[in-house]
Amino acid sequence: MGISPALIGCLLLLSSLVGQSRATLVAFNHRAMLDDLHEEGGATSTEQANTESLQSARETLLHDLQAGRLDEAIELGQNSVVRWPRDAEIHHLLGLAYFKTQQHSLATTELQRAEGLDRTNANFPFDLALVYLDQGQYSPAASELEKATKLDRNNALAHVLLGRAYQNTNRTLDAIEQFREAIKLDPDVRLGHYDLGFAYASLGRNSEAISEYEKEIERHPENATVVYELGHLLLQTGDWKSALKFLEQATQLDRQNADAFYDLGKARMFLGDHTAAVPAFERSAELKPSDPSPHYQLARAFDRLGERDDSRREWQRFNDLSKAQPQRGGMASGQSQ
Amino acid sequence: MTARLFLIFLGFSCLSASVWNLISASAQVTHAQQILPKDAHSSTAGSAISLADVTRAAGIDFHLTCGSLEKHYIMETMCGGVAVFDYDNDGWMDIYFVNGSTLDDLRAGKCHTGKLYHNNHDGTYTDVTARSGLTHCGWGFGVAVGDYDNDGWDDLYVTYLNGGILYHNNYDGTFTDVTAKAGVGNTGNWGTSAAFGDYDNDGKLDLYVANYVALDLEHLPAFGEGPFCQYRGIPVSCGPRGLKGARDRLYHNNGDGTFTDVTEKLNIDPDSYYGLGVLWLDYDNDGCLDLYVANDSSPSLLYHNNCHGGFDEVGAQAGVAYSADGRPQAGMGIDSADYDHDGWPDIVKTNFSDDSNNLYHNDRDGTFTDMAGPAGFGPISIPYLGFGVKFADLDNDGWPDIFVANGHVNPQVDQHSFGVTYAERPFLFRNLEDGKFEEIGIRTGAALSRRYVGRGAAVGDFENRGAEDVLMTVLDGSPVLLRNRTANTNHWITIKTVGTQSNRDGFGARVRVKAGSLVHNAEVRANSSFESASDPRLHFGVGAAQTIDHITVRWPSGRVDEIGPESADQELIIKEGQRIISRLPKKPR
Repeated sequence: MGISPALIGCLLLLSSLVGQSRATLVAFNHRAMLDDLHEEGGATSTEQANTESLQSARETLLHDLQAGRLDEAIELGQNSVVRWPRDAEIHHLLGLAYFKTQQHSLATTELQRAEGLDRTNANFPFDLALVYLDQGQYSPAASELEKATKLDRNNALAHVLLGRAYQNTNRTLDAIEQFREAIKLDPDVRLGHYDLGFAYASLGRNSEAISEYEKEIERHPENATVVYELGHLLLQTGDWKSALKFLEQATQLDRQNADAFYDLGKARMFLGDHTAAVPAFERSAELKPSDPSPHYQLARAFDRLGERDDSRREWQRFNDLSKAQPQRGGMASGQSQ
Repeated sequence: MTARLFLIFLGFSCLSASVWNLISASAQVTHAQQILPKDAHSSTAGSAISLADVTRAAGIDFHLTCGSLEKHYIMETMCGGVAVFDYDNDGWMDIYFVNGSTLDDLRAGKCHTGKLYHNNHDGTYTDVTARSGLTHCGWGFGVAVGDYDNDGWDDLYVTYLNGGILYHNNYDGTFTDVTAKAGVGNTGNWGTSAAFGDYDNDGKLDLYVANYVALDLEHLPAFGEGPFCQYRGIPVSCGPRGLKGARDRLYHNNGDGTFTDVTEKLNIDPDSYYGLGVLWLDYDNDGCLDLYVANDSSPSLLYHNNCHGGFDEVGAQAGVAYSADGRPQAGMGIDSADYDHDGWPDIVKTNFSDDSNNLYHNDRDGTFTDMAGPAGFGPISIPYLGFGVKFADLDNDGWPDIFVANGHVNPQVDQHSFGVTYAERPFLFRNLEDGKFEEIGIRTGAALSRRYVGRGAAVGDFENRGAEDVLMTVLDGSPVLLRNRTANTNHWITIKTVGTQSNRDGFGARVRVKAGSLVHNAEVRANSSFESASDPRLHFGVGAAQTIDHITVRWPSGRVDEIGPESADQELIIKEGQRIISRLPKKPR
């Protein structure tokens, strides 16, 4: 095949997400699809006619999807599955059309049918997993991605997604294994090192996490989120000077990241620059007005600066916001409750 | 500041923005399976600390009963008090274990009494419970030790699901329940930790009792039903959130065998937080005992003693009420020591899983900074649920190490792939002498490689050989007595204080020891950790120093005794105003 079949659904979705890439992606994807179909071959004359008709339906359906003509795609798909009920790809494409219109239940049904008809195509469980992920159903998503990675062991992205599904179902060690596998398959897989670093960090394995974040930044130095996460972790581990550097960079790359401004304030506090910490905390509070934490830090900063009135005001805000925080679970965990 | 989310990048993958955002929004900080960081096994050099489980050989056969194994109710998860103290004044540390009960047995009047073990001076113990009189029938939790009547014999206060019992030491191996006369019954309250301390420096030990939840046994919250009866979406025992808190009590010692409840007068715990850990300490070195209380799922409280008989609660301002980001935590156990030799007491606190334990460094200005992350103490603790915690210099190198008893409260976690287990291995953090710690538990021997549902933790030199041992209680199981087998040539000094003008135990006395290049500072206390009491003698490892250059004891009365030089490797009994009254030989290690 000209392109990994598991990426077909992805590319369709990307075509609607990334405007500047659409033309390239569409052409690329279309060609890949045709390549796939050509490889089937070997039909009789009657079958050939049917196949040509089926091919035409598939192509048209694909075109409609790519062009964002979703109503047309759904109508054609619905008619096509009546005519070719045993064709897995038609069910697959209809499922994707439903998915793009956020009809998750119908999408799930069609993709499950596609999977039932052809258990050798890694696309189907992969795209079904996307539908589950979109609904936050991580366990079934993991199950589908396990199938997808068994059918196509070389799809690095599938391993990344499986790792994320594991991470979201508290299977951090399994997640780490998947992220590692993804990186082994493709050292430059997008967010592979970031995901691996994040998983390490969630286990308190900070030095390993920092190493992975650094690798990710080598590949994508302007990625504000990775830069922030690295700064955050350095802050946690007490390397305040290095943290300051990355957090300043993170706040420059993304002026809307409240957490980055918050951590920047903390880094400045740790380094004894309470005056400079104040505007960072204030910016964080501005971006996250319901979060009590910046006010906690502001109150402490003003205390240290001897600004009693400001301190009292911030303690009051902190108390008010803390009381307004929703509580979940029987025991506090020091996190957002 | 907020839960660490799995952040994502738009346009990076094949997924729609909504897919990514959903992944991001729902991702929680996840939990480590109970395995070690991969490098934990590789950096074995440098650790000489060795601990061996000698429980069985020591003849300790106590079994802690605490409700059903399924833990349907919150009181079934919190037992585990233990006291290390010398009840018969023979100079050897004995052990008292508090026992819990079960709901059925409690209702039926069937007893699960605690057990008192006498130290036989040879590494073994004899169960002397039957003749001790420590036979109250109830559901016990914590224990405090202190000589409340200054008669030279340590007494016991035990907390129960319904009130507390003060046992007076009769000097003959027996105890008498004097609760009613003393007026410290804590009636109707579920007490957890308790601690004796002389907050007004009148020479008599006062008593603080942390109370947890106002629980009605006839109307217990139904397991798994309601928003506060869930852990990661699975049904578990309810609380403490959603349940009414019980107000802690502070009892002032009247000096005549009675106490006065000054809780309301001194505005103690006005919001009735869920109290679990209690620690008397003088964090600002002003000679007046302050009080730190670890609360579950609510702010912890730091009562600054105004030296005029009252307190100001300053926990938030001091930076010890919340996490480093101002979030309430589920505080469990607490202890204090000057881990970095700057002359000011620091605080350690254990918390619920999904959270870092705290290492609050004393900033010497009335505030603290949580250094758990930078110190290497916090990150590893995140997947674990800590209870008992004790500073102890286990290798006598002069730098306090930290022991942490871990164990979850919900056995149901074992039925899911959360990466969290019910039983957890304990931690031992070795002080690296530069403000950082290294977790070396599994390198100290098999005992700390095993998983337990750990609760109370106490330390003491059980064999009077100049080495601190560790004792940990285990929920629904046998305790673990960890004999310190560390083999090195480091030296030490142990100091027992005897107050005259001050309280007889010398609780609150500040002892400064100069030996070699290090100056050590420590406060005398018995009660800390979680529901537990430790050997009240101060133990100082002094490394290579064979001589203790100088000892200064600043008594709660204000008197100061200057002593030294003295040889290392001995126990000194220092009496207020009389300096050293006894030097005790030690058994060879």
